[in-house]
Amino acid sequence: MAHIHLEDGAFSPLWLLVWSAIAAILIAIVLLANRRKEIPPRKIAIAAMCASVGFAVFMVEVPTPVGPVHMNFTPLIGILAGPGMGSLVALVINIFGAAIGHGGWGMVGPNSIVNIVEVVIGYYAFRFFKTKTKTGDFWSGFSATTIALTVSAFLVVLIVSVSEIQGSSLTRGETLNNMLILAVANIVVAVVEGIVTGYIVSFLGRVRPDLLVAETAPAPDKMKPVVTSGGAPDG
Amino acid sequence: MISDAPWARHQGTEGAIVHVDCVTHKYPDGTEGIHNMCFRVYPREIVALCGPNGAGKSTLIEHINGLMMPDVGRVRVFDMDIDKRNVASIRKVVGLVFQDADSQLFSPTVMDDVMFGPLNLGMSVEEARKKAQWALDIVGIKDVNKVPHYMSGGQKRLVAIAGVLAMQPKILVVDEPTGDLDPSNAHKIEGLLRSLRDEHGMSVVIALHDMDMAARLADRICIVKEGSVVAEGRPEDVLYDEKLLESAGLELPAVAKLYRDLGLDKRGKKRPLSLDELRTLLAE
Amino acid sequence: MARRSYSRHIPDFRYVTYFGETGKSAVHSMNPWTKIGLLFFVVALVTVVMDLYWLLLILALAIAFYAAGRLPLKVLFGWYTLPLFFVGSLSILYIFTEPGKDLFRTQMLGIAVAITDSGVMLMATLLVRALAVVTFSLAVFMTTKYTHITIIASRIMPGTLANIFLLSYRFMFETSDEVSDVLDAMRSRGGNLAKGALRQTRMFAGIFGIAFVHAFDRAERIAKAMEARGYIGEFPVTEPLSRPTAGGYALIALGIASLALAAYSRYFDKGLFGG
Repeated sequence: MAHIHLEDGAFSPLWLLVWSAIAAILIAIVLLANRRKEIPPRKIAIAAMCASVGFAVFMVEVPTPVGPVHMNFTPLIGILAGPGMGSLVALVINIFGAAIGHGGWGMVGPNSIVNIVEVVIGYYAFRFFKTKTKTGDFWSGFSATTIALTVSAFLVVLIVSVSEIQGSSLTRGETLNNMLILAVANIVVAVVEGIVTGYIVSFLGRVRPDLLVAETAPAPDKMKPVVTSGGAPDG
Repeated sequence: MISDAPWARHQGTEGAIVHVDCVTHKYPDGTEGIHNMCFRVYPREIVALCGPNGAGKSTLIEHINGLMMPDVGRVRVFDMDIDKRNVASIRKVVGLVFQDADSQLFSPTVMDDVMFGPLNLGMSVEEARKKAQWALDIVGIKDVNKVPHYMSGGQKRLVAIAGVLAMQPKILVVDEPTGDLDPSNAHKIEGLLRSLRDEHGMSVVIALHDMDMAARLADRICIVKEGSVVAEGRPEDVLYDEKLLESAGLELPAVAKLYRDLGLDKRGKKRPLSLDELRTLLAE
Repeated sequence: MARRSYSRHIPDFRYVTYFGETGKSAVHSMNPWTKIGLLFFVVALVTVVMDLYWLLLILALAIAFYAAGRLPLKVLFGWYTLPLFFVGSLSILYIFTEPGKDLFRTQMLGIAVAITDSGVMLMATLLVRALAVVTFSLAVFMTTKYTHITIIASRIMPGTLANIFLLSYRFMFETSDEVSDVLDAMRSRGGNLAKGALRQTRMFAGIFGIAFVHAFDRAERIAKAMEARGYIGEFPVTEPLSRPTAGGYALIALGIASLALAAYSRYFDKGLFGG
């Protein structure tokens, strides 16, 4: 998951409002699209659990060659929850993050734009690789995640370059140069997260293949009673 | 097999309030969850579905509440054939408590959670609160503003039951009522289920593989194996049939083992269903 | 009490909620709406105010607010690691590139590199802004009951979003406990000593994979429980939450006045709060 590495106060009030308005419009589109049809409890529960686990695993430090990193797996959330619900999940994760001091309340809007792009690209890219090119689970997950996070890395560059950091007298061009250095680091992390996501997807493909493409998951009444903490499925 | 059990006064299916008629349910991967399952529930009884993991107990009980629909056969509750159009009505009369209590407590406080069901039924906040308080009083939970996460396993189980009781169902279905509870909480739950039958006139269906509890609690036992009910009868008949239980992957309850080992079966003594009854028998 | 945190550097929601549920202080007694209102003003002020010294004052007030809640300062300073690293990782570039008077100059790989005073000031300003909001936000969440936060969320957010937020917050504790358990099991079998990037990656992927599988299993159980109890599209939160007291309104009025003054200073009279 890419984040704009800035907290509250980095953007001027005007740009904060602009990005927040764009994020609000994207979220409103998702909410309106889902308002017309009754959202099944399963979809709400899946979205909620994706948000919980996305935030819980974010707190885990994963040692990598570039240092310890924290991952939210937003492209994976797109794969599992779909682009619509996944966008809401991304927003909820950002709200939790802001509450504990990661990302800033004012930055919930701009960060949500970035994460919504990751969710959407992650979902569609995965679907493309799985269904059109018939690539295996690992490579589909890896490719979808790496592409999504690379695009979002450049989106971060764009957002920060356009908004500029308030208090800085650098021009937009100079800000862009600074941000491109950060983008390189983000792309390296994107590859790492891509590898981890690829392994997760291949794990899911063996254990719960029905989860891998949100829209093709079987209807609730066809689901087996689930494994509980007692061990074997009871049913 | 049975002569004088309360439900035996019903002839065949007459008087039953739940009919599961030759139901088969297949999962997407082709495996059958239940096959040609026939099952009844009668008024004011506790019926135990006993079987090992994977036998089909949970699948069956999810059909009774309308969470699953049969591929073959039908399920009737109070003369209503369950289908997608009337599930809301079915859920007013059939309450289902799942094995994992945690996953049923999804509101911020105990009171909010127990009010969830009544509010969904269209009651006002005041009415829902009254019903919730009534249900919480029955299960004995006093701290209604507590966050569910901070409760013990036993308390969570009681709140989960209260959450369903508040909807005032006529039939309560409980999956593994005392699964991972300590003996004290398990005893509490057993007493509660008994009182729901005796004082509140409910029918209670319990799915479990704890044969000792089944012996103490149930009026009628159904043995479930590989998706079907393979035997049905009084506890003193079914739970003393060692071969039957073994073939279904179950064990004799402790009291039956003792009864057998003490040679009491050869003396024609009435079969006890609890250690207290065995003690009384030995004292005679 | 939360069983354990993953890290001293990242606030754990279980730990945060523990303080909210069990703490006793004047801040705990404050109306939650007042606290949320003040949080809004802190965020707005750090966005509008440009002068470092005024920002330091806001940070000091935020720390005072946190301390008034009888919350552990040592833990807070540990939690500063995350925003410091987060902001520092980007703003560190600015200390070299921001035009200004050179404070330090050196050669790296044949290229002259200088740290400038404007760069350092910019970095300091960004960090102070970040820490002020982080401190106040943590103070609010660590002094507000979980129930009240859910009530506020259900009143502010649109229906579907509120449902997802409420459910995910409710089960954050269980999910976090589960991930903690898996990590402990891994460590107890020498997992954190695993050598080799590939093996580490596979191990963590397995841990995260199982976390997602369990999350989906739980989601299915929750969905069935919701359906079985006639879910009609919302989680009613019926606990009452009172409005702010007169004191609370006074604080909110002070917040409005401060923000108005700061905005006036920034856009019309640059002498007051800097700009």
